[in-house]
Parts: sequence; C-alpha cells; structure tokens
Amino acid sequence: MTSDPMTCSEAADQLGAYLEGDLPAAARDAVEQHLATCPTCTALVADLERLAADAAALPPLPVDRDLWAGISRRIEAPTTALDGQRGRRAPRPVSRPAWHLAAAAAALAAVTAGVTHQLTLGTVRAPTTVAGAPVAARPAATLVARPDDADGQAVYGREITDLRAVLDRRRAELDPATVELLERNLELIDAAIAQSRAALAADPRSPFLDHRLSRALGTKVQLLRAAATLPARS
Amino acid sequence: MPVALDRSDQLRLTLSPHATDVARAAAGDRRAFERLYREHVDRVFSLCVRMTGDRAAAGELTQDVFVRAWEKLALFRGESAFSTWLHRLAVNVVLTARKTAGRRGAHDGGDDAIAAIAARPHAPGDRIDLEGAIAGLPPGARRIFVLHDVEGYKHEEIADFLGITAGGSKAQLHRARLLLREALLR
Repeated sequence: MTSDPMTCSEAADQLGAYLEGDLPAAARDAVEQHLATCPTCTALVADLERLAADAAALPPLPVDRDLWAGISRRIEAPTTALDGQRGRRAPRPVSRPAWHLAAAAAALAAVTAGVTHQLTLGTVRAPTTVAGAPVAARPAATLVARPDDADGQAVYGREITDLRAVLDRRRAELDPATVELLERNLELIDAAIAQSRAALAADPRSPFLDHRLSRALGTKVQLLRAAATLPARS
Repeated sequence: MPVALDRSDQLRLTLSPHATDVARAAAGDRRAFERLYREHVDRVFSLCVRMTGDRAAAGELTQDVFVRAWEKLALFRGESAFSTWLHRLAVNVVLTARKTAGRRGAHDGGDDAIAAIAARPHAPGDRIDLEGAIAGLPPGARRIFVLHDVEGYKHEEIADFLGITAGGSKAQLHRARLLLREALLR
C-alpha cells in the first residue's frame, strides 16, 4: 500500500527541520519527493537557502561616528558605570594592575629567599650622552641574564620550561585558589614580557628596555620557582 | 637565536598581526587598545545594530562593549582569537542590556522598527532590503537570525546565550526566515 503524496502544508511543517538536516531518512525522502513535483515549495526552499547565504555575506556596517573619545574617557575615568547602571555612576575603580601585580608576584617569590641563584652576571651597556660621550658602565644590580644575549635567553627559556613542568605535575596537590592567582599573575607577566620584547625589538639599544625585559623574565622565573616549592594542601 | 619558550608563551606570542597589540593593551597600553578598537569597531557595531534594530542604541552599546573589553582584557588567555572573544563579549553585553531594559519596561527599538516598516508606503518597485527586513523582525526572531545566519553561531551556542533550547532556536530561526522572505517579496 502506498502512502498519499505529501501536501504543501505537510511539507511546510517539515521544512524547518529539513533545512537543519534534522529529519529522519524516511521523512527527508518524503519532503524531497514532494519538492521534486512542487515548484512552489521548491521556490520556497530556494528562497530560504538564498536568504541564509545572503545574510552570511552581509558586510560590516560602518560605525556612524568615532566612538573612541567616549570610550577613552570611560576607561581613563576613576569610576566606570556598566552592568546596567548606565547613566548612574557608581564608584568603581578601573584597575590596570599589570606592574603592581608583577611586583606582588616578585614579593611572593621573595618569600622563598635562598632559592634564587644567578644565571649569569653582566653589565648594562653604557648609555651615551646627547653629545655622544659614553658615561661610565655600571654593573647590573640583580641582573639574572641579558635578554638580548642568546645564551641568556636560552637559560631563561629552559628554566621557565622546567619550572612549568614542575608546576603542572604539582597542580592537583596545590590549593586551587592559589593556582588561579598564580596563573593570573603569570598572564600579566607574560603580557609585560611581550610588550617589553616588542619595544626592545623596535629600540634594541635601549638599556632601560633591556633591563625591563630582564626584570620581567626574572620575575616570571622567580614566581614559577616559588610555585614549584609551595606546600601541598592538607 | 629564538628563545626556547614554553608552550604557554608560544601560544600568547602567536604570529597574529595584532597579538602584540592585545598583549600591550592587556598590560595597560591605551594606544594599543585604540588600535584594536579601530580594527574591530565596525563588526561590533554591526552586531549591535542588527541585534537591536536601533542604530542610536547600537552606538552606546558599542562603547559599552569596548569598555567591558578593556576591563576584562587581562583575563583573555588567547585560547581563541581575540576577535572571537570580543564578539562573544559583545553578544553578552547586548543581551544583558536587553534584559535590563526589559526590567525597566523600556521600549525595544525593534517594535518601533516593525511599526515603521508597516507604516511605510509601498510604491511600486519600492523593495525593502535585507538590512531593513532584519530590523523589522520581532526582537526574539531577529536576535536568533542575526546570531545564526549573519554571525554564524551554532544553535547550541545560541541556546547558551539566550537560555533556551537548541530546538527553540531552530524553530525561531525558521520563523525569522519565513518572515524575512515575506517582507522581501512584498
């Protein structure tokens, strides 16, 4: 016994699922049999498919006006209203803790004094005066390695890799809140390292940038070292 | 000689042209953040316009998106492209604003758009374009159509955004497409 052919109304009820590919095989076959004989429904399917394709191809709409001034004011202001409070300013500092958290991370590392060791010692390159006469060179205070020195970078890299491996092995036995804090600090330090590297690449002769990168890398090493020696949670 | 970095460093320092700007902005560099704004503002604005049907509100929401992005950027881990992260943040800002406006009983711009399109006199050959038709959709259908067909989100993702089921998203999408077809054929 053969079933009655599908009507347009029945096909329309199935079209949503048909276009999503959600119909079981038998129902899909029935719809396609109907489409093969119904130009109206075939045109409808073609229109809906073209509509989806046209929507996907819509270009971005250019913004009406430059919004940067308003954004800049809000991110620079000490209070920022968001979270549905637009129009009513609630005191809420916008914190950008890149360097002070990195310093806090260094302080954390300092708790494990005695673990640090000097990787290499070197001097900061002598900066020149405006007239071109060099000033006296001075030894680096706590220089761990010169980041523009290939060997120094390799040492940092190996140390970071090894310490990361230790932290990863110990992750399950450490307090989750501490691990989260460590990861956030590492992200901030990584951002500072990336920024310093980029700046140094643009100005490779800058002793200030050289020292800043060295400090950031050293902080990362110290933080990872401190994390590697944290006691397991009880 | 390149430094032997660990995998997490390598992931962050990908060769995306704007990886440095993202890292710099995350560290507080406003000029880098402005460059990110200029690169991404049109796409964010487009999302806001199309989801709300209201260009004026979209400008305000676009600012909200970038302010929120500035606040959250330090938490961006680079597990997705920055544009993907920013885009999802924009969707959430728009949807949160809608909920807040709903609690206040505020008028949804989409209702105005529907009324405006319905009231517009139709001259022969006067065809609405797709953007106008999208703006004329009922708000719920418009949001799902924009998220799925324009922005490319899957139904499961839309369901997460909107707190509905994937099946509900599919049904609303089909309804939206039928309404759009009807509007475009008038």
